[in-house]
Amino acid sequence: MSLQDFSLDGKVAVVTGASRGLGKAMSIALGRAGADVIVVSRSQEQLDKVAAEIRELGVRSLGIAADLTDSKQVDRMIKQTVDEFGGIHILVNNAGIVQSPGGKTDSDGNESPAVDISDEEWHLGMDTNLSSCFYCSRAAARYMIKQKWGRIINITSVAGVRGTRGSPIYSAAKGGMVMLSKALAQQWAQDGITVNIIAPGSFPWRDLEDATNADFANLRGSRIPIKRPGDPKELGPIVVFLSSEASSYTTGELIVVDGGALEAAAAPAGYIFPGIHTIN
Amino acid sequence: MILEEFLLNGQTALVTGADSLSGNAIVSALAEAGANIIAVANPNSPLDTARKLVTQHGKKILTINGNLQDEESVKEIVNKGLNQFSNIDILVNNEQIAFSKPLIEISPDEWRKAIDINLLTTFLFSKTVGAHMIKLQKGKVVNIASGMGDRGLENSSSYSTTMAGIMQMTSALSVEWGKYGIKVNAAGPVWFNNGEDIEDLSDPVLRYIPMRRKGNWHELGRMVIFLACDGSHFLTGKTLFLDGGVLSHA
Repeated sequence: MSLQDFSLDGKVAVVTGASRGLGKAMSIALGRAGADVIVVSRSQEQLDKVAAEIRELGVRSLGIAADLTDSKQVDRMIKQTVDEFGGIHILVNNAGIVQSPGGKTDSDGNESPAVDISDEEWHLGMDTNLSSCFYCSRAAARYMIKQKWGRIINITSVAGVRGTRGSPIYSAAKGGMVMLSKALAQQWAQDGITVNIIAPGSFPWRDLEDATNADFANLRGSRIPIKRPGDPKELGPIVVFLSSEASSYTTGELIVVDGGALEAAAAPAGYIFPGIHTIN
Repeated sequence: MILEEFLLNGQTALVTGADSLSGNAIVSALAEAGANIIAVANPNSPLDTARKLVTQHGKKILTINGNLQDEESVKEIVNKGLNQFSNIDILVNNEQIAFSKPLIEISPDEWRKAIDINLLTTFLFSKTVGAHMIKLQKGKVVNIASGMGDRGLENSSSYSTTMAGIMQMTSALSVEWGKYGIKVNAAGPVWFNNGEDIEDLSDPVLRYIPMRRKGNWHELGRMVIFLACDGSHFLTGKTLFLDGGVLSHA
């Protein structure tokens, strides 16, 4: 083996939902590992700032604004990537929304009560979170299959792995991403393409400053074994590993990055198992 | 460019079962990433290959043979390692045994042997090195499990049972040690070649593997580097499989 297998030199990566938060942090990590990075979201202005930051790492970077619920725009975005950067090797499907009642975005993650969810809200969540992932994967894989090498990393959520009370649409779409990934991993296993899933646990998703906010950290950290929320930078090593040759035998894998939260029994810290007897 | 998180310069890794194919791949990978190695194996298990691989990468290695299922002996091994390197940053629990036998033919002694080698060894090294890591308030534990910890295979009940135990120990220790800055994860290989450069294309298992090839041990080595890396302690308690797509197949 060679440590060089961890490097992304010469690779072209597309990251969706990259203008801020986890998507931005992952884009920077890919750039630090040597990849040229296309950053995609709806806001050209924010993307231009992120791309400029990535270029400072010594790699190429470009922001492409696109509505990923429109497959024609997705196809165009992938084609532009290949035309301008010479190929596409890595795709990180990170774009998504959480909704509030009425389908507004950027809420606290609580959707309408299920009985009140309109068809429009349902389809908005499905299109933005799940269809976009399929459209991007389909467009990128057409190139990856030809070059017999590709890495697709789908960013789901713990809400796609376990049930959440307040967000049935988001949970369904994110759970759908998990199974879409596993199915595509099977279909493309002999084409040199791996498809893996990262499920981030409690990370600040509204803006990065929240990570250093003590109230936020205490509130979110109390139920997490490592006693703090995640720092978006902590997704760097995993996204780079899964993007590189170093992870060549791992595909269809769901990796939950949650500070151990899903490993812990539902109980307060220090709680003693009520049925337990002393060993002597 | 390589993320600095993957470079383990100045760190020390203790690897059990360092005489095996997986052990050789792990010590070689960790040394290439910059770590010094404490290579541990049973009495009479030669560690010459591990020594050669580590020194090839210009790193220091201490080889120790001893009883890995006895607490006093394990303490002695860990103390020898600490005398030489002063810290242990990474523990790789890789010692394991697998045997094929129908359950109704397994003797209690054979069953205990599987439990002792696969679970007691991991428990004793986790306990002894873990106490050191708790003092340091940091550390990385990588357990080597197997896809058999997730699935059953005929005549492999002792192996499946103990590998599931390793995976669950991984999960439980991540919860218990999270507050000490220690991350605990596992790597689970499924269907690997029986040698670094040997690929048996006639193996009937190949058509059950979506990638249509078996894994190579250096691929496990790279996974261990990733799990031993700094900068992502939020990833803890998990088993990451290397399976060519086997476990996500219906």
